[in-house]
Amino acid sequence: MFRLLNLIPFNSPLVLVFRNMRARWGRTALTLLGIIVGVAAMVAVQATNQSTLAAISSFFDEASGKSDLLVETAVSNETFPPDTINQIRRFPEVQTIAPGVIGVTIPADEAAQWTEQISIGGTAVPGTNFWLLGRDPTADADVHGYSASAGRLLTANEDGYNILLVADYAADKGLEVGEDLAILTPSQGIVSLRIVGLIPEDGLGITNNGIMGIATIATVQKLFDMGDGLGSLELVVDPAIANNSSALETLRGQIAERLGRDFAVKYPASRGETVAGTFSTYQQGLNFFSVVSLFVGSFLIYNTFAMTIVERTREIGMYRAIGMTRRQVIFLVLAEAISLGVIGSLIGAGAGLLMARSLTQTVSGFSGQAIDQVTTTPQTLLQALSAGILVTILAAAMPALQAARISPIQALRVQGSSDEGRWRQTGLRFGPLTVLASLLIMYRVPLDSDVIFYVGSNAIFAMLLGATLCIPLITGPLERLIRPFILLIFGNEGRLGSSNIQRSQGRTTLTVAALMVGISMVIGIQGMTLSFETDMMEWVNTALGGDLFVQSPLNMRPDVEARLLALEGITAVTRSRYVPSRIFPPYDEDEFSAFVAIDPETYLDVRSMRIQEGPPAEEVMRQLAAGDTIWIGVDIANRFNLHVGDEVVLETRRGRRPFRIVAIVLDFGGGETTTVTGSWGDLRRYFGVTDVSVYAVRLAEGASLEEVTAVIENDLGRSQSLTVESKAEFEQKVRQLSAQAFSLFDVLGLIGLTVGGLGVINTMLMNVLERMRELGGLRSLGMTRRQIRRMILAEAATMGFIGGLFGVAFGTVLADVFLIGLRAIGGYVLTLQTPYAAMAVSFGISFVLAIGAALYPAWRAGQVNIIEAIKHE
Amino acid sequence: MSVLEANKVTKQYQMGEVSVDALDNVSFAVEKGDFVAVMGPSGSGKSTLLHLLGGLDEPTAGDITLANRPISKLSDDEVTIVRRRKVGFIFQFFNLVPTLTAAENVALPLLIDGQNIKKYEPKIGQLLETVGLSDRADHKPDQLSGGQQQRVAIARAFVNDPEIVLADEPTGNLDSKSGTAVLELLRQFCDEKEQTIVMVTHDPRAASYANQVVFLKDGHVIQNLTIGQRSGDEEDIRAIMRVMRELEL
Ligand SMILES: Nc1ncnc2c1ncn2[C@@H]1O[C@H](COP(=O)(O)OP(=O)(O)OP(=O)(O)O)[C@@H](O)[C@H]1O
Ligand SMILES: [Mg+2]
Repeated sequence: MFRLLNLIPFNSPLVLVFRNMRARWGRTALTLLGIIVGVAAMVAVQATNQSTLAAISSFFDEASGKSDLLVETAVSNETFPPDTINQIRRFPEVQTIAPGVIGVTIPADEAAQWTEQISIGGTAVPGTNFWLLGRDPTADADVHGYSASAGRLLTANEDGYNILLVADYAADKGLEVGEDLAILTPSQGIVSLRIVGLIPEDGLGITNNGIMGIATIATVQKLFDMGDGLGSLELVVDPAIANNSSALETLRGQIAERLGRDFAVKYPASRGETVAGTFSTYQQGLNFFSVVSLFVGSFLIYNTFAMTIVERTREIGMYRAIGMTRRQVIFLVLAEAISLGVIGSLIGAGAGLLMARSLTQTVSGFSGQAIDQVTTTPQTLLQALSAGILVTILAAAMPALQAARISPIQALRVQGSSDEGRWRQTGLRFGPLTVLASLLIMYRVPLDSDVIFYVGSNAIFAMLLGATLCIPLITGPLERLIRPFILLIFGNEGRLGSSNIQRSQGRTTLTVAALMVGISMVIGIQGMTLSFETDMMEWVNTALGGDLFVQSPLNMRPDVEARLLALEGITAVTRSRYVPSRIFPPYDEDEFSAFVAIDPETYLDVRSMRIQEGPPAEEVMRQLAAGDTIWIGVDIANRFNLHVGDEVVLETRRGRRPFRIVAIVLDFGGGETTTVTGSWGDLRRYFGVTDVSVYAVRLAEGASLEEVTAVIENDLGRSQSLTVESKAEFEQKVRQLSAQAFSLFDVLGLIGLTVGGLGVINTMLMNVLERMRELGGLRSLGMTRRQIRRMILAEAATMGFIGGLFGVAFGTVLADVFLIGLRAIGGYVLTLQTPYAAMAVSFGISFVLAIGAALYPAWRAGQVNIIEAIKHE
Repeated sequence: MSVLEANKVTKQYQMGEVSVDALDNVSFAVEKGDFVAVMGPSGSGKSTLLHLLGGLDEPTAGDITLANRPISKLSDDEVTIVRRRKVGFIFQFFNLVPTLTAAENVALPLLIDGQNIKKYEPKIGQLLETVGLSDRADHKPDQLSGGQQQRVAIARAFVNDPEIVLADEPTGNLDSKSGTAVLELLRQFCDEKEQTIVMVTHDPRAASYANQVVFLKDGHVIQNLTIGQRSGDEEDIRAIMRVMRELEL
């Protein structure tokens, strides 16, 4: 790349720019790295999000076949009577109606190992359960048109429980046409289904990632106790209307009106949107970090530019002396910034797309959504490119102005200019003020979630900049404070080295700043991760409570509770059930919400709650038992601006009903799905549901976890197909999930640290080269090579110490700011957990990293040739 | 007609509470073709004077006229353009750009001025020949000796045909042989091209290459000595040293 630059003819000032970039290639690479990291993070995150959405929507496109409209009940997962079909038949535009129902179960042979897999969105991961689709073979031929790759398709009148399986799944289970698949059913125990044909894993066959079978509607209705209820209707519409979006919308409205508000008439693709919605907070979180990383990158750019300017003071002074105007000097610096911005952004965009490849695999891993390719839009790339270039220019603007202020006299000075006073002065004037202002913006100004990205990350940049300006004010006192410690490690040479950091304050400041940024990123990220995890654990311990959770792939009968209580070693049991609903908040748009029913009688025996607003827990239970009441989490309360005493409307099987809020609790904010918690009585009354999703069990003092688990699984479980998960197992699962989700952020912190280390190498090498003569002098006075090396290392160690100190201080602020950002963006309400361990470790890393980075410069210093050095200019 | 005129120039530096008079009411003129040496003890204000004359700094009081332009009254951009086109600088530490070759360093002022360098190639070649470095045109500064570097800097100072060349101890960092070569070059430019030069120096032998020596002490011009034009003339050196003794410099 650099060789090419030689081709630029020597008749434009640009040549000065390129020659400088080449001469300081290390610095140039560092600046590029800053840009690349920022832009790559942006592109990677955006492309990952887009790819996820694209994959989801193409998934639902494929699975919905030729259908143009989809009819379901307003509360999803509910069934409706078959005469609905007759109402739709009245629309002549509707050519085909394909009804369907779904029974969710698992194969009998998997019952023992089954546990619920949760995704980052708090929803079940596709593919953990087996879906038995009830279909109408005649209508399906028109709508989905699947064909049998082995055996035959179903007919309208099948004798017995005959099914089709997806070929790949059948192969996985070692099943062939003519053999049986045994599944669990809610009331008939284990039932065998005869496989009569196989279909390929495409079209309808990709439903639930292919873990599915197709039976007739009657079969599924019978096996899953559904009466004659249907789950969905897929409609194929006259092509003339289907191809005209406004005509289709009109038809959709008419059908919706006819069916009434217990039904939802949707476009098939909207199912994808619902699924996509469960990722949205995580995606926004990633977005926030990608913007933050761009700004941290920009700080790196600022840092290297500022350092280069400090170094080139004499050269720039000379330019000024021989006739360069201030504007030309600014151009010189900005031209460098622009060219680096363009190159770095281009590389960054490429690197980002590569990163997106592995990132989509991560997302795919914890969401269960297969993402085969990275897709992005030209706008995204263009946006990232221009952001990269713009941020580089902005970051270089201050050093450029600084460069323009260099006086031509500084070129004539015998000693390289003493800028010490200036750094301290600027620091005094702007440092504390900038820090204060940025803190005020971050903590005191309530920001809309739309702008918080930009204002927030700018404030972070300003805070780091202000902190940098404060460094020259504090290095003096700090250095004296830690000198005894340095003396202890490095002996008397340590004194010389340690006090050397005050000599070129500009350089020291920027090196300490680079370390500070690296360390504070690590601590900020660790603090956030820790807070997130602690909060989740708190949730596991209080809201979930219990020592064991008893679940089943099928919902459980309520009498399991009495049977569990009868077992030895169990003192208390409480049940809960999730049902889908919609929430209609007073001032906001309605959205999907889960209604979680608990038993107020037994809840507090096993679980507990942290009440933010409302009466004590016992009173909350009393009011909940009275009915028409719910409690909600702080995140929802904040989002919809709700308080105790307010009413919200929920969609139930009996239509929309108002519920009064009796408490606002500190819930785990990390769940993506909006949930409200109500009583068992209301569940029965308004949703007509009596079965149970989970039993939380409290063990007696001294009871053995393993024994009770074995008893439940073997005795009760055999007939009920129950599985038991201990709290420890569940915690482990949650931890793993959060570690996975945060791994990307850790990489960012590591990059920050690396950059800090490079900064130290750079500075110490510069210091050594600049002080050759002095080092030669010291050698001639009788200092040994070893002593010289110790002196240099002591200087670096002092910087590491101070950088670590600053990093720890501002990293803690950063962690807190990240949490504020998360709250504003996603409604996660987390309390900051100070990451003491990470602080201690990072501080140590800063110290050791600085010493390690100075090893080579120290060695170089030791090699000084006395005679050469004294001759040196 | 004076190329350069300083009229009652004063420069004060504020050092916290105390103010230092680096120059006090100095008046001074340089005619076209003059080679002026400025001498004086350390701290007498020599460098300060040179900075003011070259428009690198502004006087606290008084006027400076350079090439008919009142530079003490111009904006920074205007003074910069004057420096660019009318002034050449030679520094004690050469101040070559390490990333540029000798020829490119010479061309730098033209580059900054936005000139088409191609057009000036013969001139740059000629200047390099004058300073005896034709064979070193493509060398980078770190491949040149100190004396060679300073000769490149001299070529650079003259490339824009300046009205005046200002040099602050140009031989201060050189051995005597290289120093002599540099001084002879300056004398040669003065003789052959009628170039005007003001040079600060400590060294009476260096000063003897000039035809006028200005003595500064405590910010005042205390003596103005006109000497013969023969370079390194022993008699001139003795005359300069006599004045120095008299003035207790
Ligand atoms: N930037 C400055 N701030 C304060 N005082 C200054 C500054 N520059 C020069 N001075 C003072 O002005 C006076 C003249 O300084 P100047 O550099 O002109 O001396 P000089 O004659 O060039 O000395 P030398 O021969 O040692 O180079 C000195 O007393 C010096 O301390
Ligand atoms: Mg001086």
